[in-house]
Amino acid sequence: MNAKRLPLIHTGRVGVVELTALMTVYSSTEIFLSMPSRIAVEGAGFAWAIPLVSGTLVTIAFLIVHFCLKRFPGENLLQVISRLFGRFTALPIALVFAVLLLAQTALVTREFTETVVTTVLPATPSAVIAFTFLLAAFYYAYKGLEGLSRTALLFSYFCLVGVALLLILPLSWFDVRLLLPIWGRGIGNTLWFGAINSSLFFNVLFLSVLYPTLRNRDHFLYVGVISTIVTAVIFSIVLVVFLGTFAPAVSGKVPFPMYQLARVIYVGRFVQRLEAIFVFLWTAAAVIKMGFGLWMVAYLYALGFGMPLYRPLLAPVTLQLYVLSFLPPDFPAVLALSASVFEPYGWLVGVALPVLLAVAAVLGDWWRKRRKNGRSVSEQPKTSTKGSGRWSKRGRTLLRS
Amino acid sequence: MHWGNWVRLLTVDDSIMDKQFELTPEDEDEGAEQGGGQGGGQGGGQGGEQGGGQGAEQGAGKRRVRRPCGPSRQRLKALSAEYGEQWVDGQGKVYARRLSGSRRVSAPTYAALRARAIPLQQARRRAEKTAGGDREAAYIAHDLAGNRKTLDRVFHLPLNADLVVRDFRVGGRHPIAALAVFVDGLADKNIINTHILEPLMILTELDDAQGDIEWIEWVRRALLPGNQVMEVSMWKGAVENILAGSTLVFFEGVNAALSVETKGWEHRTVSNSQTEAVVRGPHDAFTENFRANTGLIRARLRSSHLITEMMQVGTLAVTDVAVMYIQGIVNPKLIKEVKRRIAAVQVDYLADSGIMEQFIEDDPIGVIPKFLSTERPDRVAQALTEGQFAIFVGHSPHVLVAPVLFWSLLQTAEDAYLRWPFGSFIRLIRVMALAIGLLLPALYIAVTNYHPEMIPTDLMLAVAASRERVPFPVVSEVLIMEFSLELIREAGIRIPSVIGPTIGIVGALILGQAAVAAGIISPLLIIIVAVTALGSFTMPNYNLSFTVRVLRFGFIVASALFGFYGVTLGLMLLIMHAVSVRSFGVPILSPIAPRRKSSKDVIGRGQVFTMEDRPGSYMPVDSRRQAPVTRPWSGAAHESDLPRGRRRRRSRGNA
Repeated sequence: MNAKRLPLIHTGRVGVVELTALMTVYSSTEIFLSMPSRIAVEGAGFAWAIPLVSGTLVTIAFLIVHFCLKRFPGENLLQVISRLFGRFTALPIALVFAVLLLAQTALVTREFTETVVTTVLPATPSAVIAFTFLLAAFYYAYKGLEGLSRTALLFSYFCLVGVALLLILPLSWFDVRLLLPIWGRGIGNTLWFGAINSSLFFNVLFLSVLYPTLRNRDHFLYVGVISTIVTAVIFSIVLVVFLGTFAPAVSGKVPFPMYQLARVIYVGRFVQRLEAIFVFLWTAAAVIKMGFGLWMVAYLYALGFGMPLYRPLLAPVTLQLYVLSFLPPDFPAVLALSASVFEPYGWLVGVALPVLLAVAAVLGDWWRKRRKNGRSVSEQPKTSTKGSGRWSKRGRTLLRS
Repeated sequence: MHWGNWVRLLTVDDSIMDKQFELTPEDEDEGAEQGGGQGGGQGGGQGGEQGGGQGAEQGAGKRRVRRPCGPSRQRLKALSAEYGEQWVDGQGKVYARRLSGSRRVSAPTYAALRARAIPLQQARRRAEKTAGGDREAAYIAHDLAGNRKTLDRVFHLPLNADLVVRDFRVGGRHPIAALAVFVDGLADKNIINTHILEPLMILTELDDAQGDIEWIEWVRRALLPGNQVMEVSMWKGAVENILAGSTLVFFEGVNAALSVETKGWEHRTVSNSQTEAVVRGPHDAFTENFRANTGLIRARLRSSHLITEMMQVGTLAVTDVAVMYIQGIVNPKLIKEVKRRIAAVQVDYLADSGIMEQFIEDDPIGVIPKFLSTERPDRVAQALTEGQFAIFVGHSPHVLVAPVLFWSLLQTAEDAYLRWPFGSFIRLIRVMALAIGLLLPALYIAVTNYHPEMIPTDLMLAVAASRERVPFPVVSEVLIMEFSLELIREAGIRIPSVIGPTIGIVGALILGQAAVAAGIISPLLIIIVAVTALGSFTMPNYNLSFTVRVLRFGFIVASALFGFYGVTLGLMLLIMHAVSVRSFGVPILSPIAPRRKSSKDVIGRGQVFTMEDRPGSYMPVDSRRQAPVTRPWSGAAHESDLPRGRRRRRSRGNA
């Protein structure tokens, strides 16, 4: 079977640093949500090691995918799969990815909405907050990957400074004894939770789809590894400060750990109660995270169905996000959903599936190469990437005019 | 309201896939680096092996297409349609005028003219038939009477009072009738008298000795002492020259005219900069004279590589447009693109560079300026050396510089003339002023309305006490004050300068004591609004200060609705807008987002001897600006003595 390649969708050029910043911001935005308190419960005093374990596992997974995909220059994972195993194998895979991201982005939307309502705008209806969030996310997704990555780069400078302040200023409450016992619930448990929590990182999935956006794919090694490591380190530091400030036993009860950290800041009479300033941080991070999630859903959907554009899909996907985000009845239900579904099973789609597919692609290519007497499929002359269906005629139309 | 953009969200058409002009390094070496299919086939087949292959195919396909009528031929046709395509000679024979340039009509020599000895009556008859047609000839005719009639028709004479047609005879034994045509007020009468009429009428002695040279060439070479004399054979050129201030001289029996440069209209002399004043640095500014403006740049930038390309825009009245750049520095793609955009401007009249700016900018919907509009020649000269280009439009005293980065809108010429700590300091002040001008009133509303807990208790009590007597909500209070301030600002510009000082007194009274005493404004707000106004006045670029003024109201509304949350959302939308805006294909927030190679000249300012590279964002052909070692006397090593990694990277100061 030699199916036609999926057409690529124009995303614009993305720089290495920008993409790294986007991946880092996307993943580390979790610190503003309930993630730290959930992990603190799982790992107790040793919880700060859980993200490091997850980061290591995800880095290994990424390296596997990276070296597998090196065999197929100029193509992303879905394109390779569709070319090797037929177009209709890529469609369900794209849909699985898209559905996972859709559900995850909807949850994030709800979580951020509830955060804003609870912390700064208690009198405003959730629907209004969610609507404004999604409006901003829609604009972000509309502007595409280029704009998202550049905004993420700009934001990352402010975010680093802000988070650093947020972690340094409450140090007056920090008590290193709260991090004891040093092994927490034991190394075995920590490793297990570390493996489970690799669903915190979607880098492998994203990068395997975004492969053609960078000119030099060796740069992807940099993007994947650096963004994963930086994110893991940020998670870990946040957990150290969080656990040292609030005891592990209490920390599980804190719904918004970073907000709580900001509340306890008291550096003299003048510098106190700075939580409102940090609203800037998490609102901005939320917009980038939701915008990228929305963009990715539309992009994967368009890619799966061989559409040349993703923008017409944005409005319906935004509507879906809005509806889905209000399906859980209340905020505890959102947290429960996150803890019982996305955390234990998210890694299956976010990490394991891309690795499996990449390995399958290499095996498939190897098999075909053998059958074709040493001629790799990737060396075949490429067909048009202009589009499919009536889009493929576009080049000729231009010539005629 | 641009409904088209909303409809576009729901529509799928080919135009969405069209790629905008982008100035990226990838386009140039894409094929080479991605040979063998390395790298990505970027969307729509833009990159990679496929893109390259397809591009080649398309190119080949395009070469096969044969146009029945080439563009140059079409231009000639259109021109002939305007000035008439044919003329009929005395025998009623129709002559098709040269359209393709194959039939050359050269001016006769004086000897040939005498030999032919066309009787005047015959010439007059022919002139009557030629000029009596409905349309004027495209080419200047041999006979003077016919040319005179064409002039009358083109310039609506004698209705048009300021066009002067002076009949005279070129002196000598065989006087020849001639016409001098110029626009009163545009041409310098002294030059006309002393450099055209006097030599031709009084000092001329035409004789047979010059029989071998074309007659008009002889006049041009020997008889007209004007510094720029040009032979014109088509009416279009003749009319444009007359309207540009030159004097056209027509001669009997010659199918061409001589255009003598006599421009000399009244205009403001070069004077101090009105809107971009500096303490240190030159004070001269552009004025309302096209050539004086280009000359100001030439005087500063004495390079043979400085190129001024002339174009003309306008169908009803022509406006000169010059594109100035330095060959060998500016990216050729930029020049090609700007000329393409200017050529596409089809308007009847182009009044100012501000209108040109709107015609050729990248993203017309948006608040961020995409051109640096300046009246300072030193800024333009500096910009040209960095790989930008400048557009001079007619007699506009504001020159457009593009591509531009957002950061350069925040800079002044003076920053570079000061030593680096001070240059950096005032730039930092300006960045803070931008933030204050944009956000301060919005933050005040957010804090007082939504987050009073974040300010210390004493301050909160002071704010509450000052607002005790005020009957309005904070947002109304802020809007009233901001609106009054905008009124004062607008009135300050429009008010006749004689009564100008009054506005200061009125403004101070309204915004100051009276509003507080009346109990409608809290004293704290006066401070907020005053500081905000100072912040927006600090913007060195007039267009950017508009951006700040307009967006401030947006932020006020956002913060009134949602507090800090609304301000943050607004800020994020603004950032996204800013990172996706391009000025001639260059992302306006580079070199920060996206990251590009750059000297330390973005927000702060580095030492001048370390800034060796031109800004990478403009993709200059030659990126090096100065030698790696510019202070060899200060104990710095020669470049070859530097460690390998530091060669050609950093200038050495005293280190």
